[in-house]
Amino acid sequence: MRLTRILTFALVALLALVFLFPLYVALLMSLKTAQQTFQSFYALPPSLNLSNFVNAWKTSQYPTAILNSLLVTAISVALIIVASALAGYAIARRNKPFYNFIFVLFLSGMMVPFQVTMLPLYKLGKSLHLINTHWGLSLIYGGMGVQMGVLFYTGFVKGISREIEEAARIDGCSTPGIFARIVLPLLKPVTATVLVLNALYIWNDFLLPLLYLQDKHYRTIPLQQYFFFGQYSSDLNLAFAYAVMGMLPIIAFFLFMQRFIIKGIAAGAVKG
Amino acid sequence: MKRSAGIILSSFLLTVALSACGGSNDGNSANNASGGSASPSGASEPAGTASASESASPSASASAPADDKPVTITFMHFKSDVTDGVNKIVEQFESENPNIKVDVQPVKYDDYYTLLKTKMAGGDVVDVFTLNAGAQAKLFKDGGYLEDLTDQPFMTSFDPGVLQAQATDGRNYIMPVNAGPIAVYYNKKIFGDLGIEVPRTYDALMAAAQKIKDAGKTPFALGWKDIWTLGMWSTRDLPSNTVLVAKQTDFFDKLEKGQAKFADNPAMKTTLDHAMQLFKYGNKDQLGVDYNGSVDLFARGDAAMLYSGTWPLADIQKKNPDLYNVGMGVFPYPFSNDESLNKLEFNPDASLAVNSKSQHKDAAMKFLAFMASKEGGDLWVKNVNSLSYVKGTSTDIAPAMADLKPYLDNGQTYDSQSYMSHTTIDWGTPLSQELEKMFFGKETEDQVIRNMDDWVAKNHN
Amino acid sequence: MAQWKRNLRGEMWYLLFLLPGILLFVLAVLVPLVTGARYSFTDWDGVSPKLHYTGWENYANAFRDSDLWDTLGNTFKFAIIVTILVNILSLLLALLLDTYLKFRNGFRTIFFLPNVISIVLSGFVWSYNYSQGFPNLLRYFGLDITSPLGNPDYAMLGLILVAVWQGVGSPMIIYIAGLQGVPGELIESARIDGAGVFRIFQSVKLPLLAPSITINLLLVLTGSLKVFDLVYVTTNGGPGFATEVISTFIYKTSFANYKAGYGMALSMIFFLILVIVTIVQLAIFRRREVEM
Repeated sequence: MRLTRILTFALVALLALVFLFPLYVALLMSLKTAQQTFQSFYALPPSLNLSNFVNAWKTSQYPTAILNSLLVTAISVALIIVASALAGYAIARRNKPFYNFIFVLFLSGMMVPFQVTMLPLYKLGKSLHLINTHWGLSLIYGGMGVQMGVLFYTGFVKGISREIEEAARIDGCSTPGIFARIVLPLLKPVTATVLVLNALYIWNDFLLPLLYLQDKHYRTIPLQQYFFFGQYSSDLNLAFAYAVMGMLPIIAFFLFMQRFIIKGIAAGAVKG
Repeated sequence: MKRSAGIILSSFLLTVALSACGGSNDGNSANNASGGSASPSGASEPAGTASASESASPSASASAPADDKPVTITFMHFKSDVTDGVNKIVEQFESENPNIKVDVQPVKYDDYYTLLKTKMAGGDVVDVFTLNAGAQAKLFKDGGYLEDLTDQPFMTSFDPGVLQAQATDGRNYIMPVNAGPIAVYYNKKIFGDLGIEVPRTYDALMAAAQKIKDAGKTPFALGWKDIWTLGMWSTRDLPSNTVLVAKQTDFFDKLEKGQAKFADNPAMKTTLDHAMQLFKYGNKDQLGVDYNGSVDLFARGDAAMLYSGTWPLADIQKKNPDLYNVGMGVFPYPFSNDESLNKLEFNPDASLAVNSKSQHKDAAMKFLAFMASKEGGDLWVKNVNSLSYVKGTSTDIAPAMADLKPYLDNGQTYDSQSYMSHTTIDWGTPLSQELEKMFFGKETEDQVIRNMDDWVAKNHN
Repeated sequence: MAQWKRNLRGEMWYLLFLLPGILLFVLAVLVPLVTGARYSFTDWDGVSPKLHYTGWENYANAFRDSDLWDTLGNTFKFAIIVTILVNILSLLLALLLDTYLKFRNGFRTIFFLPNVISIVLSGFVWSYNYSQGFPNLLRYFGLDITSPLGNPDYAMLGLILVAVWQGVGSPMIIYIAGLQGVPGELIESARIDGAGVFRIFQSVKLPLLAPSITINLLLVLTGSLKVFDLVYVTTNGGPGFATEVISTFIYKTSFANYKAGYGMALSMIFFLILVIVTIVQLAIFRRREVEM
């Protein structure tokens, strides 16, 4: 038994190393100069050299990009949570054909390939003056994220017993009252899940910001990153430094949120 | 982030809850609250009708604004690898024209046309943008997006031959800017050690490659993982051999009209043979190494030759200054065995176009005039590290380039891309795909040729 | 009458609750989808302001297009293998990381990390490792390898590895969460009855994990059928046609070949395929869940 345990541990540890290897390479690249990489790919840099990070910081408007990314992600995720919590609740509690139809509609919306909607979305954004605004982009993300959000919330609410709600209704509480006072506090765990999954996606998304945020003052992190990876761009080390800088906030966010997500899904989000 | 989401959520629900739990139920407050998060609802309707009026969309037509008012023009270009260099040129222009601001939007070449097309079709007006002669220029011209530049005074800065080669349906809609020699860089030490002369014919090139391979070195650095590097070669080897060797001068025009097939073009076989040989003499993992990797191979001295434009020069300088300063030379790619035909490939690239729907055409023209001036040309050479078509600009961008000076001075240059200026058929990418299959023995040469004809038939009928 | 009114009022709240979600959905998905669908009946080139309606021609052409069938084959090959591998690996990791392993929180984070990175970046890092990193590393062990992405026979495998690497995190967490819902007494009583590790997994844990399996299979399968970024930044469909998937094919048709109308028709067909796959999958798994 002891031996199996040690063996499993060794196996998992090895797998973890394999998983970390590409990231290690990224970090290594970001700490070396082009010449050092050129001479030896795997050698550690002779001394800790943060000049790539300094240069990336200076040339890339990193603070602006971070702020843009934060804004877009925050507004979008807020929209998604509000809209899908409400809709998910309604669908879960009214098990009627119309609501089920809406549910299936949302579900099939998840299947729409982005290639179909890309151009129309751009035209739409243009005519509604959504281009080059944070909230315009966020509305689009809201509409895309609400589908999966509804899937999660519906499943979660179905797993909650109706008894307390029934009792509150008899006490004279209306639907919104019940939702706000009774259901909402119970939704915390699934909200954490929806929050993280959407935040990860929106933070890293590239094509939509490319279309919607053309003004350089509005660029998000992946967009800024993209301008570093120019076609013949040779300064890979600088690019990697910028990439590492772009990853840090979202990794920190994930570490902070980790315990909430696992709890969230455990509490029933998967009973869809 | 989590907190802000929470605040929005809870404040919204608070509004609802406060009025809702008193037993009576008036619904209004919640109505207002939910209306807040969904404000653009009504606005989604005009979208449907907007798309219906497709053909009537170019409503905002050009009108000349007052001259002294400050204007901002947008300038989208695909020279994203030299973003800083282009910005420096633009800054100089702005300082000389205080009333004109230029909003520069660099986009990677791979995504450039997608983005440009999306913008144009979406009714967005980009005032000035880069465009290459041939298929792309024709497409935008046919769409009615290009201003005719033929009679602009600044066009006299360019050689008439170049302008003729760049014309679309007989008129000039784009102004040549970047001039790029595409040639073969070579490692002088490897060549010297093995006693190899600079090859002037294709067979001599292959003999040299064999010698290098026998000596245990890699003859060609190939970065064909990036499909454009393979396309860069094939879309030059084929037209050169088609027009200059096989003498099928109007092959690509006929291809466009459906009057010719790849099967009828003897140069097709030549190019496929050449591709096979290059592949054989390339570094291992020809399709797994990307452009940057191939430059590394050459810079490190592992590979003896690199077929490329001027782009890798700055990179080589950084990685191996000795090689850059004295160790490398450059010669025209000998696509044939006739020495007199093997001139220097010299291509216009990143030519400039003005949008016919621009609101600020005067400012846009001023910008083009600046780029066409001697000053603009010199700034281009200096900052972009490439050559310019503006007459009389300097050519001094790298020590190795001195090797090309005789060709430039004697006018021994040609532009294989001009042979394809009347066609919208972009066969480069499918050909690259077919070549990749051929390299691994998945297809024979005959199958490649047949598939190419099928592709043209399917996509352009 | 009064009854009816009260019903309506009760219903109204739920309808209002649906409203924000539906409005967002209409804006970001439905309107663009309908607009896009209209283009699929035209010969639009993607740029020109002129277009003509051509009826069902694009659709008829699509069914005769052998490239479409090839790319669909590639897409399903990729998606099915990724779905299976990701689910097996993430379930295995979840089982190991559920309870008794040391540093399990650290390990969870490590296996989730690739998920946090943008696909553009991971594609970039992996291409680099495939062509430079791994060959350089394995040379120390006397092995001479080349990038799988450069060989049509192995390119798909190379992509699948990256997709698995990046895709294990979320399903793993969903499985861990599902396992935490398995009551401890159940496992304990099975153990007392003399059931081994595998027996417990098979008869106790697996049935209770059914909902997690359903949602994971659904999310991973549809996600990998729609794969675009990964292919676009690593192989762009090559070498040859070896890794051309439906999304990259549509993208190229619409933008590189100036056939936006045809590209839209292909997307609509793809959309239909996805909906069918989802419905079939849900139907199968819902029924099994009930049975178990």
